[in-house]
Amino acid sequence: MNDKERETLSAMMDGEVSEFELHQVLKNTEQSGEIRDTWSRYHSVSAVLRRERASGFDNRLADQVKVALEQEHVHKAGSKGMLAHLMRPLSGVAVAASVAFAVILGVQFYNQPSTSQAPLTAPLASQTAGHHIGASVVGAELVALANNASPAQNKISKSVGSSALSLQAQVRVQRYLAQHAEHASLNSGRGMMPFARLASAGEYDRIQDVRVRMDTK
Amino acid sequence: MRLFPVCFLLFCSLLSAFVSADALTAREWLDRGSHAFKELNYDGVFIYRQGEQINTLRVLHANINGIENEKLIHLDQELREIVRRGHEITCVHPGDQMVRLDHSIPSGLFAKAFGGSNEKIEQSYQLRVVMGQSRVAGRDVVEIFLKPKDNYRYGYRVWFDKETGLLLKSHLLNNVNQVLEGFQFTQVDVGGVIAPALLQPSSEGHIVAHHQVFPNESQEDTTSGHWGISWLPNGFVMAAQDIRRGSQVQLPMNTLMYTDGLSVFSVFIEGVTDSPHDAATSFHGATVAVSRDVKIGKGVYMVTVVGEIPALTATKIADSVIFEK
Repeated sequence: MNDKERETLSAMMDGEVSEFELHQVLKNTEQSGEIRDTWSRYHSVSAVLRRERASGFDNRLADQVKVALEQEHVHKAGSKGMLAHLMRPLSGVAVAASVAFAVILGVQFYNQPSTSQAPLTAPLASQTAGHHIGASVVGAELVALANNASPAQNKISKSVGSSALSLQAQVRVQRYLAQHAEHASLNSGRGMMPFARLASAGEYDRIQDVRVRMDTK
Repeated sequence: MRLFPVCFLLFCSLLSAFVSADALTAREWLDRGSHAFKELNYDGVFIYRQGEQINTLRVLHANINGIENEKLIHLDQELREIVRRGHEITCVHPGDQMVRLDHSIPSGLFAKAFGGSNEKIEQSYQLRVVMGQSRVAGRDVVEIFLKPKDNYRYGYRVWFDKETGLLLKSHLLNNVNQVLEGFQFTQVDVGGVIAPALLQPSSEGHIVAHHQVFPNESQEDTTSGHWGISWLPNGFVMAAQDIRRGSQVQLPMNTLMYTDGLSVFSVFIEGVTDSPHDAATSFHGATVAVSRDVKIGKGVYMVTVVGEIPALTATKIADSVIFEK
């Protein structure tokens, strides 16, 4: 496994690869156990950084994404004509972006049961295959809107391709959660109960990252 | 026959004893609960539920020579515990993962703001004793419902031990009364003697991080202004403020903490050097974290609001953060 492959894997973890690179990685994972292991390890590292239990990332997800991509191509091969031909590179980018999104979203939902706060995601929790990418995105948006029912919601647009918080931002949020738990514990008169909250938040994959971009900001 | 008046008096006093416990107002129950939580000795096991996730923890609490001693132990998975002696907090974690307590806020300010009573709570919540009998951890309890007066905060249902006033169960509710998180004792001993050894951190094979929560002496504001928020939900007041330099990046870190007597949220303002961030909202059980980048002159600061409050409230607060000169 060379540096280039490692770099591509790392970029994929951040949702920043082109469709071509994504195909390359998926193809390589098929042939090389080493790449598969590295990918899996990157997920563990990411989980540890987010103070989560190593989640035992399942390589089958890669296969699912691959199947989804192949079906996408079968579908596209069936459509003919100039317009379809012109649109193809564009839609390819969109597919790549949404697949990267599904990888991130899928992993995040992977061992996570639904929460009562986000009932809309409940039926999506078990759907990590590419078929349901669209639904997942919609689900995330609905959650965002349901929780963000401000008049400003019309201005919210999604950046689908890189929907997870960056690793750095996640680490920062975890640190804030820890500090907030301590504030609450020392000041709310409920003893150490808020620390129970923190341990639970840090230990399990309960983070639902919804990145929203405000057009006006 | 002469005994009759005596018996009658005895009966009356017994009756009044029973009646008085039942006749406490919701406010009085909250006050009693606050004191009980701090002053009583207790040793119990409780479950903490967030969505479908359940954690089991043991809590020990004792007053030794007038100092509050407390220990929280996770009973699931790896050993994690938090020990508090007065204001000194010790965390025990496996490996090198530990709770970061190096930016903490001194306590005591809340006590100043509220004087240990719950009178502020009635500004923001409607309090009601819920009729009916119930039991938690084998003990008779009284249920209090705290309904928020607006949609900017969550509601609570709390259950107090009739005998001692200890909080035995609590639910955090959203505005359609769904339970976002709950904790509940399954078994508890109240008022017993707790051996001091039980309150020591168990350190074998683990990294132990000590942390003393001191009032921050190095509070210096290098800039000629201060951070504040221009919009606050009714009833919230600032309970603590802290300005210090971050340990890793040499940029000032501001922490503001607000409470309405029940709900708590923290505002973190940190100078950032990495690439600009998008506005982000993430949910961690009942806790929401909302981030924004704010530009002041040449500096970029990341504002993050964290709390057990609705996302809409956190967003409005994050949007209202200002730097006043």
